[in-house]
Amino acid sequence: MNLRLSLLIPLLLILSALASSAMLFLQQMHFANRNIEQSAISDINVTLMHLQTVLNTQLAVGNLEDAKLGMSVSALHPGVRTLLLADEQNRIKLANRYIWEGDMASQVSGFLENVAYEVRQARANSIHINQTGTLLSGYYPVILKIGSGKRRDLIGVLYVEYDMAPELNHARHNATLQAASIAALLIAVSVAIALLLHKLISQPVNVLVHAATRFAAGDLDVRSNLQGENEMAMLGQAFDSMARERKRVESELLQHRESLENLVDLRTAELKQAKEEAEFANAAKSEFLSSMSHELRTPMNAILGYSQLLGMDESLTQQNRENIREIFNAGTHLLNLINEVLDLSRIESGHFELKIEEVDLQAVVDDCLRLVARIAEKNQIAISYCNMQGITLRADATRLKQILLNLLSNAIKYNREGGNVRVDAQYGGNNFIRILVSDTGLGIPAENLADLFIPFSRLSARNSSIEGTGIGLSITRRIVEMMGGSVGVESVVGNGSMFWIALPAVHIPDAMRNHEPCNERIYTASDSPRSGAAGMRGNS
Amino acid sequence: MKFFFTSVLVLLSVILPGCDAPREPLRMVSSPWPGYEPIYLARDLGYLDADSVRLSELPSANIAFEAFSNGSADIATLTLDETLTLMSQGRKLHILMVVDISNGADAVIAKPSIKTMSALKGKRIAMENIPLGVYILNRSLEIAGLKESDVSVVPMPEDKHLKAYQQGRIDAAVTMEPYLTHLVKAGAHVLFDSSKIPNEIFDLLVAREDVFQKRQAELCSIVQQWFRAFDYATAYQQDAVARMSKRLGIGEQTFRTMTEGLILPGRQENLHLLGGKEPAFLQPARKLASTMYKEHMLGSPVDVASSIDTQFMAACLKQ
Repeated sequence: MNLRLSLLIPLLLILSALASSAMLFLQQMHFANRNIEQSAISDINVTLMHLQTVLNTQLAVGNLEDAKLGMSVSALHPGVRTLLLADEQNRIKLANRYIWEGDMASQVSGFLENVAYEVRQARANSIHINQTGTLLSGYYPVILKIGSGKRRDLIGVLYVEYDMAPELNHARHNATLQAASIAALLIAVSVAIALLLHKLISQPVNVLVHAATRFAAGDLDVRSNLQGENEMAMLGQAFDSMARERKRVESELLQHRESLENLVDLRTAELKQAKEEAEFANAAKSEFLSSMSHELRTPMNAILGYSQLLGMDESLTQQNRENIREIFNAGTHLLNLINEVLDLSRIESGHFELKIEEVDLQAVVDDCLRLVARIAEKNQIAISYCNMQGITLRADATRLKQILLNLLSNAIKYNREGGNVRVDAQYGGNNFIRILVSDTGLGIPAENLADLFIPFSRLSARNSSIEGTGIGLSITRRIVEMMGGSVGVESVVGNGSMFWIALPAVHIPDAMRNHEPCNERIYTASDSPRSGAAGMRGNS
Repeated sequence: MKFFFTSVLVLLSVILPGCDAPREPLRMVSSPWPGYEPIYLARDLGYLDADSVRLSELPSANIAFEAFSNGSADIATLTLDETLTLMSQGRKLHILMVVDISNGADAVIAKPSIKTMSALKGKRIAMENIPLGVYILNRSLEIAGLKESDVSVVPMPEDKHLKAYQQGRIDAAVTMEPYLTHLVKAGAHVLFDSSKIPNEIFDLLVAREDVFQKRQAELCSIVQQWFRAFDYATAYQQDAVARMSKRLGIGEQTFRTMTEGLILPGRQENLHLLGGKEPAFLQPARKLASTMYKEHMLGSPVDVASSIDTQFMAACLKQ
């Protein structure tokens, strides 16, 4: 149904108007037909009955003139087309048209001799209506001459033809006029209703549709401005208040957004400034450290140099030489510390460069072990290590050595008397090799593990006599990460700790890939080319 | 908007045809008289439209007059005196045409023993109680120097005169054709006839005023067909006479005899009689009116001119 309502409703009204008018017309015609027929029949009956009696009377005394008069007057009746008196031979004795007198009745259209015969026989009237329902024929028996003695009565037939057509036409005309008037009235009413609907509904609807469309398109100021108390006006007013509310919300949102943006800008500026300040501070700090480290190192070298010199001076007492050796050790330690601080500052200020190349792990491990052998021996720590033949890493060799040294020295330092340090290598998946340095020290509580790699966060060392630096592990992490690897620690309090670094490998032996157990050896001094210790201990 | 207009159009198309109410046919009555025959001839020949005019035949002038008078008919063939009588009663009528002028067709007859009008004194005269009858009687008596009281008037419809005469119940009769001929055949002789008073006895075609106003065109048509039948009768005299005499129930010879006593004015004569500035009809009609009024046959004076529309005949003949 795509028709607009304001068109559809009046259309339906008009259709029903036409339908009811048509029905009215048909009904009226039906009733009119019946009425006309019935009244015609009764009318004719009465008229002809009267004529019958007149004829009977007049003909009985042979008074043809008065019979003729009676017949002519009866024929004045508007509907009567034909009125005639036929004798026994169906010859016309009298007729409303005088010229017919003497002619055969059957010559006059409509007269049926068989009906006349029946009427004579039965001495009873007979009334017929033709097919179209417009013509009424009546046959009435009339005594032409009363029979005497054996002679029977002579019966004539009074025949009338009555035309109902004029009355029917009249009725049709009336019915048409009536139906048309009603139709006209109803159509006028329908048109009025159509106009009313248009004004009351269609127009406001259009206004609202228009307003809503424009509103949806973004014009928040549009209003329907429908006044009144009817439903459409109420709809319009509801729309308007919705629009107003929406506009209010919209402008609030706008304000809110603006203030938010301002806030964001402010924060961003603040953050930017803070970041800049932090960066500036950091850079300043690094600069400071760098220059300070340099400043510190220079005299340090003097201390180390001269103390080493003095240590070799035979003229000094053993005690003095040992004292000087202590000075040298402390100085070395300090120098290491300075180097590490320098490294850290360089790393943090971004001036740290790595030389990435293929590195033979076994060689690096051998070097490291050699370097820590004396300390290990001194602390009575046994070192065992796995066979790392064939492992080639992609790393900076120098830094790797530095890292491993740092881990090893930590493992030795934070170990118990007669403890063990183990150096291991594993396949870490994804072409990474893990180097593991385990000790049998005190172990580190789980909650402190994360802080290990933070500079200057030294655990448990505050209250111990073990020297150390808090920088080492954080440098380790930075450098390993710069080499594309990662670091980690596992520890069980009371058992010991295991530090590992994972680095990308160039070549990994198949045995390692297959996670076969390593070929563990205990490191002895004789394993290193500089050691003077006797023979190998343990398995090879 | 277009909706509105379509509905208006629909309305009009429905209403307008219905506005023309079907019209009743004009009801016309007439009585047997040769002068009136042309209209029946017209009907016979199919000149008359049955939906437009319904011609009813009545056996006597009396009943025809009655029918017209009581409103059972719209148009009638009447004598001038009948017309004047109605008009004096206040009826508004219009004379459509002069159908014929009696020139011997109306008469006073008597049995052979009564030789002259003056011999009617004290005798029994049958007379139909119609104005014409009264008029003829009075005029004839007047001319003979007698008064109505001098004779014994027997009121009787004309169709009864013959029997009464034959039975000797009457000595004379005021009569007209065809009864005149019948009576003459039965032995009576004419004492007086209308040829002695020419241009006094007119037969007219008359319509009621309201009918004249509303249905003038149809009335015109009737007049035209009347003349058309005239034309036919002139062209096919034999056939026309056969038909007309049959309807009147008289022999063709009788018919001819009867019509000899009539002047039948045609189109031009009618135009002369009823049209123009001074219709020729007016003078004799007025004379008759004053005579009738003097003789107390009219209750009040009649203005004859009011019954004539001088344009009517000309308009009808133009079409």
